Parts: sequence; C-alpha cells; structure tokens
Amino acid sequence: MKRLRRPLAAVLYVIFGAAVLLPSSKVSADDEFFDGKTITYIVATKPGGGYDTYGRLIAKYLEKHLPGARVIVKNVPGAGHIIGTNQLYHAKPDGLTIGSFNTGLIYAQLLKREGIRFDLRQMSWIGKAASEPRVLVVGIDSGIASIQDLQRAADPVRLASSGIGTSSHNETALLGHALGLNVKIIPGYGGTEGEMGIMRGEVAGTLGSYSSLRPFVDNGFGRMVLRVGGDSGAIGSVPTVRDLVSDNDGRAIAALIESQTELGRLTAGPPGIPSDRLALLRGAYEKALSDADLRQQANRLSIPIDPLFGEAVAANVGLALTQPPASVALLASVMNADAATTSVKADLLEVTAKGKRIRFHERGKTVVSKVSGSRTRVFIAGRADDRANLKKGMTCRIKYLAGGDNEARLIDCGD
Amino acid sequence: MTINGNAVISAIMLAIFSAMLIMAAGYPPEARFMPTIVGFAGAILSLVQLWRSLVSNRRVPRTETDRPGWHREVRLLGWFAGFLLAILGVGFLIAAPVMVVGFLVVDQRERPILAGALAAGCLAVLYLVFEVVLELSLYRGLVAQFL
Amino acid sequence: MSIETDIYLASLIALLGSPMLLALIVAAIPIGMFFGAVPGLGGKLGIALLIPFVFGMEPLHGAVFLVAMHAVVHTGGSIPSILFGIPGTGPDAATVVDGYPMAQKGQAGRALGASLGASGIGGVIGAMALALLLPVLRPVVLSFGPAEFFLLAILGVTFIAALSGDSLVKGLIVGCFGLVLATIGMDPMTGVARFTFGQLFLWEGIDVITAVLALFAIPEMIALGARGGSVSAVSKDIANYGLRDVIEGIFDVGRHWWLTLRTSIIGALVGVVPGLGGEAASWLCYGHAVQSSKTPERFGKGAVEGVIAPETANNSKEGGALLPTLFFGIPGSSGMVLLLGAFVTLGIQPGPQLILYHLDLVWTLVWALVLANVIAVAMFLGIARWVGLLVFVRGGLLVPLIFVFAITGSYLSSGNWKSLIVLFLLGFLGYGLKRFDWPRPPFVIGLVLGGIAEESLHKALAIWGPAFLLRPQSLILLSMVAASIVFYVWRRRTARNAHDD
Repeated sequence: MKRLRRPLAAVLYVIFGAAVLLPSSKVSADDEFFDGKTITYIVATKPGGGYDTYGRLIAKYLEKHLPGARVIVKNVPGAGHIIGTNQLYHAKPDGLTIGSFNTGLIYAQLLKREGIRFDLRQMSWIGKAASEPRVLVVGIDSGIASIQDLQRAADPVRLASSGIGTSSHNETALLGHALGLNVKIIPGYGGTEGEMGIMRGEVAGTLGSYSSLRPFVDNGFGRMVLRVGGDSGAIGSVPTVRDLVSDNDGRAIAALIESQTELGRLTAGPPGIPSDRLALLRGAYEKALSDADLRQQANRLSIPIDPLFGEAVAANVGLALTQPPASVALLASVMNADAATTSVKADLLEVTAKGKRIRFHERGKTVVSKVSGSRTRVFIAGRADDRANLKKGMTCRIKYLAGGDNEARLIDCGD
Repeated sequence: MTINGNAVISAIMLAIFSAMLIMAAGYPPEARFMPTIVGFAGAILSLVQLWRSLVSNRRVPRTETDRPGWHREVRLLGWFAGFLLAILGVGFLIAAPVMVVGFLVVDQRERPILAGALAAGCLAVLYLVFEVVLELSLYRGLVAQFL
Repeated sequence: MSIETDIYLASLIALLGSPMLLALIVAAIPIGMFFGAVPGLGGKLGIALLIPFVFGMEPLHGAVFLVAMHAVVHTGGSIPSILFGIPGTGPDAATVVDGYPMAQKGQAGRALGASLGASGIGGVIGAMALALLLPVLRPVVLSFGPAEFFLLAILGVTFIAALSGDSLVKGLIVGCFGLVLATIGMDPMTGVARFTFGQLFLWEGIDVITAVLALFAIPEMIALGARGGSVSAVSKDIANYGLRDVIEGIFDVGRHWWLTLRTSIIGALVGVVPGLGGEAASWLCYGHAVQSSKTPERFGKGAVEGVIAPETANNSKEGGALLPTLFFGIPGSSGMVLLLGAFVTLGIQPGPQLILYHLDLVWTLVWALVLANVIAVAMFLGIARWVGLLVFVRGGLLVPLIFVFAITGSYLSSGNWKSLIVLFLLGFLGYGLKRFDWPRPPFVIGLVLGGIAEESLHKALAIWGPAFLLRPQSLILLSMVAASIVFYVWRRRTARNAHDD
C-alpha cells in the first residue's frame, strides 16, 4: 500500500497543479490567441471580382496587424453569395473563420428567399470597407433630363436590371414605388450589359453603383438623374432620394437603400465569437484599414476605402433589418408585384366612396379599381394628394394590380 | 451479353425529358416556356428513336454490342468512379497520388517504382502549381469537413 | 501618307524596337498558354492572378503583358485538346472533336501545327479586322441587341443538324438535352430556381467546363484505358513523326486559306459583339466549316478543317473583344471585364478619349496582340515535336493522370465539390453516348447557346414584343437561319442521290 501511495500522490499533485495553473495560463494567452493560428477569410465569389480584390487586400493587412497569425483567403462562390454566407454563418465561432459577402443579401433575408440559412442580425460584425452610393443613369440620347421626366412619363420607361431577386432589381423597384416613376424594369442585363443596352437604345437607363457607372457617365454616354447615398462633393449635384420623397413609405424606402449604400464590402464572422477575440479582430481590422500602405495599394487598384468599424456596423445592419411588418409587406409587394402591374392612361369615369373606388376604361373594357389609403400613391397636378380629391373626368395615368380588387398603385392626374 | 444500347439511351433520355416536363409544369409561364418546348421536342424524338432502336434490333440482331473489351471499359468506369469517390472523401492531395499508384499497380500492373514516381510528380504539380503559386485551395475532402 | 498610317507604323516600330516590351511579350506567352492548357483555369483566372504582378509596371508595359498573355490562352488550350481529348478551356472543346481523332491516327504533329498556325493567323486577322473596323465600330457593335443574339443562337442551334453525323434524330435528341440542361439554374427573368432540387450550387447552372470534360475527356480516357496501347493507334515509326509533320499542319492552314479567312472574320465579329460568349465563336465556326465542306462526313473523324476553324475563331475573337473594351470602356467578354479592371488600375482609362488622345496606345496593344500570336507560333514550334510525343506514350500511364487533372479542372472551374457529382453523372452518360455512337457536340452547342437564346428571346419580347422579328437586322438573320436549314436538307438529298446511284 505504501508503495502505491507515493506515485498516486504525485499523480494527484500533477493533476491538481494542472487544474490550478492551466486556466490562468489560458487567460493570459488570449491576448495572443491568434499567434500561430490560421484564419480563413471566406470570399463569397470566384476569384477575380471586386469582393475578391477587397478580400485579399484586407486579408493581407489583417495578417500584418495580427502578429503571428496567418490569414488565407478561401473562395466559396455560388448562388449569388448565398453559399459562401451560409458557410460563414455555420462555421465554428472560434474567431478563426471570417469572411465577406454582398450586403444585398439583406433584401434576400427580408423576403425570406429560399436557400438562406443565415440571419444577418446575428453575425459578429467586424467592419466595413467602403460605401457604395447608387446612381440612376440614363442614356445621353434617351430624351430624359431629370427624375421628374420619369415621374411624368406618359409611357413606361424601360430600365435595365440584372435579374429578378438581385439588389439592382429590388432597389429599382423600390425607388420606382417611392418616387412614383413610370418605369418598366427589364431583367437579364447582368454585369455591364445594362450599359450596352442603354447605348443601343433598347433601355433608357439603369440603376447601379456609382463606382461602376462612373466611367460610363464620364465617357459621355449617360447622365445621372438620381443618387442614393454618397455626397454631392464626390458625385456632383444630382438630386438624392431624400430630397424627393414626401411620405412615410418613401422615407422608409430611402432609409433602407441608403443604409445599403453605407454598408459596402462588409467583413463579419459567424454568430457567437467570444467577445475578447472579436475585439482583437476588430482592432486588427481597424489598424489594417487605417494602414497607409493599404490605402496606397487601394488607391492604385482604384478601389475606394471608406471604413466603419465594429459596433457601428452592427448597429447599422440591425437598423436595416429591423423593418416594421408594414414595411416588409410593402417591400414584398413592391419587389414581387412589379411584374404584374398594368399601366394605363385614362379618364376617370366615376369616383365613389370618397375616392376609395375609381372606374375607367382600359382597352375597351371598364375597370373598377380600389384606391388604398396607404398603398396607393395619388398625384394631382404634379403634387402628392389625397384620394378624396380625385374627381370624375380627370385624365390620369393609373398603375394597378390586375386581378381581385384591381388595387391601384399609382394615380397621377394632370391639371 | 447483348444490350440494345441505343434503346437504353433513348429510354433514359425519354425519362429525363418527361421528368423535366412534369417539373416545368409547376413553374410560372415565362419560366416554363423553354423547358416545355424543348422537353416536348426531346421527348417525342426520344420516343421515335426508341421505337427505331427496338425495331431495327429485332430485324438485325446486333452482334457488335458484344464489342470485345467492354469488360475492360466497365472496369475503367469503375476506376473513374473510384478516383472521384476518393477525391470527394479525402481531398485531392491525398487521394490523387494514392489512386494513381493504385491504378497503375493494380490495373496496369506497372512497376511500383514507376507508379510511385508518377504519383509523386502528380502530387508535386498539384501542390506547387495550384496551392503554392496560384494560391487556389484544392478540395480537402468530406472527411476533413466533418472533423 | 496620312497621319493614321503613320500611327500604325510608328507604334509597330516602337514596339519592335523596345526590348523591354518584347521581353514582356515573350514572358507572357508561356504563362498564357499554361492557363489555357490546364483544364479549369482559363484566361480570366490568369488575368486575375497576374494583376498583383503587373502592379508596379508602367501602364503600357502592364497592358501589353496582360494582352499578350490573354491572346495566347486558347493556343495553349488546344494542346491537351488534341493530345488527350481534354479541352483546356471551354471554347477548345470544338477542337477536340477532330483534333483528338487526328492524334489517334498518328497525326498529332500535324494537328498541333494546324492549330498553331490557325491560332496565329486567326489572332492576326482578328486584330487587323478590328483595326479596319475602327471607323464603323460604333454602329456595328450597337446594331446587335437581344433580338440578334437570339437569332444568332438559333443559327448555331441549326448547326446541330450538320453535326449529327449519320443520325439526325440522335443528334437532335442530344441537342435538346443540352438545351434543356441550359435552363437549370436561377432564371434572371423570373427569379424562379429551375431544376435545382434545392441545391444552391446549381443556381448558376451546370458548369460548362465540367460538362465538356465529362462528355469528351472522360469517355476518351475510359476507351484509352480499356483499349490499351497509346493515344495514337498508329505506331511512331509508321507515323513518321517530326518537325516536318508540324510544319505540314501549318501549311494546311494555307491550303484551306478561304476557310481560315472566313472563320477568322466570323470569330472577330462574334468577339466584337458583347454578349455572345467565347464558346459560341468556336462552335459557330466549327459548324460553319462542317456545313460549307463538300465532304462533311469526314468531320469528327480527323478532318484538319475541324481543327482550323475553331482555332482561328478562338484567337480572332480576342482581338474582336478588345475593341469595345478599349473604346467604350465596356467589356466585350467576361475576360475583358478583368482586363478592363486591370487597365484602370494601371491608370489607363478606357473610353472614347482613347481614340482621341491615346491612339498610339491602342495601336501598340493591337500590335502586341499580333506579335504575341506570331511569336507563340515560333516558340511553340520549338517544343511541339516533344510535346507531340506524348501521344506515343503508353495510354495506361496517361489515364490516371488525366483523370486527376480533369477532376481538378472541374473543381477549379466551378468552385464547388458538388460539381464532381455532375462530372460523375455526365461522365457516365458521355461514355454511353460514345459507346453507342451518339454524337456529342450537339450537347455542348445546346448547353452553350441555350442560355443566350432563351434570355435574349425574353428580353426581345419584353422590349419590342413579337414584332422584334420584323426588324431589318432580324429579317437578315432569319433568312440566314432558313438558308442554313435549306442548305442542310439539300445536302442530304444530294448525298442520298449520289449514294443511290
């Protein structure tokens, strides 16, 4: 028995000692948690595009400012950034996986699109690298000189978008609704095809990021008639959405899109990264983006840098995603219903129930259309007005959802 | 073994076109337009070809379906599947050299030294060219994902 | 002498006189050929990965380097296509159809020579064509819109008939299969995910490289492995292999000069018009070669025209695509998107000012394109004979390596491991098609042109309604489509009559 006790005691001492010592050694090592570790930076696109360029640049400087760490870039393309974002969201939240993806996924989440297995609100936000103001550009020969021309157009003006479900399409539809534009969106113009379409004259304009459409405008092929986000110093005196919206719906839409323009080139990690490691990452990110060398490289690559860090980004994202249910419904109807609206110019045959119902002719048949107090936008003689002021005999451009009560989206009556 | 290959392929095509037609019926009009037209054309043509293959087979029994060497071809198909499964399982860097050696030694009865050399060369190219120089990460395998 | 002629010559002389620029071109060529030869990489990746390297260079140097690299990608891509039947890039798949059978007959050297010569001449003519088009560039480019893309795609689809070999029905079935697979993915026109079975990786459709590798490379390797022997069924001694063989191939390009000229111009035009895509050029020209030949039955079995036509188109389209990229600042192809980005980072601002203020730069790039193609021929000639010897290596040694690189190519091109499952399924199908003599090129045509056809059709309908067919350009193209069909029918009839006699 005696012979066993000594080794047993020794073992117990070792175990006890380890149990006491180890936790404290863990605490002090956390400051250098990343030392000797490899961080994977997921880019949700194939190599070579804008997100890849930003991602690789940021990864390189993160490595510089996280002593001892290695940062490697992993491309996870597919499904319009959704595959990469899904993977990022479900990665182990130990701080060793972070990544970048398109902010436009916010729309996808709001609309609960299939395939989405993430919740952007829960992500551990590290920072954002740039702003992406949007501009609406029309062809120089399109005959359109200002946004008002689009509001007062007699026939729908064709605008190009990348495709149904993309941010360009959603934002064009939202702006169309917010500003009462008479537009028909033609999807399928991916990448720079929209610009070619404008040059060929088959579409009059397109909405896109300022950075990508700027050469087109500078080369004299188009003019900007509207901007969202950005500032007049950099872009020039182009009216912004904020100046032009007058009601709550419009303001909500403007706020949503503007928040999108602020949050360009995000870097985030999966939900639940321990706060001390997240702080380290945020700190390194801030140092990386303030690094003069990075700024210089970015300049040479012609990629603008306009950063925002940590909490501020989280707040911004939360704001964009916390839309009141009415707004979400509005968004859903605008983005989905755009294809189904019919546009017609007609005289009001009858206005009943204080403007809640109107009757007019459309291509030989009579249509009775419901006018909603909240969802239908009414303009009389160029100014936003109340449906109660609609009168029989007015000549109006009416945009409505065919079927059911034929609810009107827009009624724009002349003098 | 006599397989009427033409008939089998026609039948597979017919099945695929029919399945796609059924799925397309559930899509909105603009989305189902092209799949429906092409699927329909394909299905009809497959039916025609199926008929032709069966009829002509009855008239003139095809002896060339017993083309010598089809056993070897099926074996090769098996190896192809093996390569894919291995790469899917443990990733390029492990599966590639292993399968190269495996194929050369087992199927081709090569000398192990030559097989080993080729496998090593293959691994070197994969690693140096893709991972190191181009910085493109090659798949690590499903096993690695679950660990 | 007018001012313009001075600029042409001046920039050429400046280019030839600058050792630095020449060195850059010479350095760029093997890199470009490498990215073309390794399946799954491609010119776009080459540009993306080289951008960091050209950073420090002067704008002209960097631009010349990138243009030269990109110009010879398809020249490199034809090498594995001919030697092993694996297309190095998507557009090189058309070269496989006749190039690989030539290698099997022991004529690999000749095929390589033909491909080399065709690429070189195609690149030169493409560049020249774009230079000549300069004054009328704008109206030409702008006259091609969705309506025209749709009809061009349909024209390409009619070539399926010509490429069906003996059985029209089988060819049409395979073509329809390609067309239907092209609809897989997230449809931008309606936002509906078609035939994706809930798989996100299919939202962008079936990866073309994966499909092409599965249908061409895999079945050939299975056949090679089972058959034993080497790629070339003819032994080395009989084949009389050597440099002479390669040069013979280059002369073939001269022998078929009229075809070479036509396909170069068609390729350049397809390149000038943004929106058609790289694969369209090579397949349209291949189909054209088959249709215009007096003996179309030779195609698919090792007809040298089947190598010349797509290879000229592959290189001439690059010259064509460079134009709208430089002058409008609007990329003519997806590779050009990256090139454009690279130009911007180098400080070159593409757009109409280039013609006004920097015409010399434009001409230098054009000449760089020409020189790269020409020098590539010279450089490759040196090693062609040794590269060509690979077809005499025992097939059993090649097969496992090619399996590995084909699978790698599919993975790299699609970026997702699930594509390997697609590779698997289509590979089996491809083997079945080959085994029972079903034609495979119609599948690729359907897959490649189906997307363009459908999207353009819907756009054209949305913009003009069905009346889009009545526009003058549309009517011209419609008549070409009709002519293509009539031609085919007439051909079959005369062949049948000749057969019956």
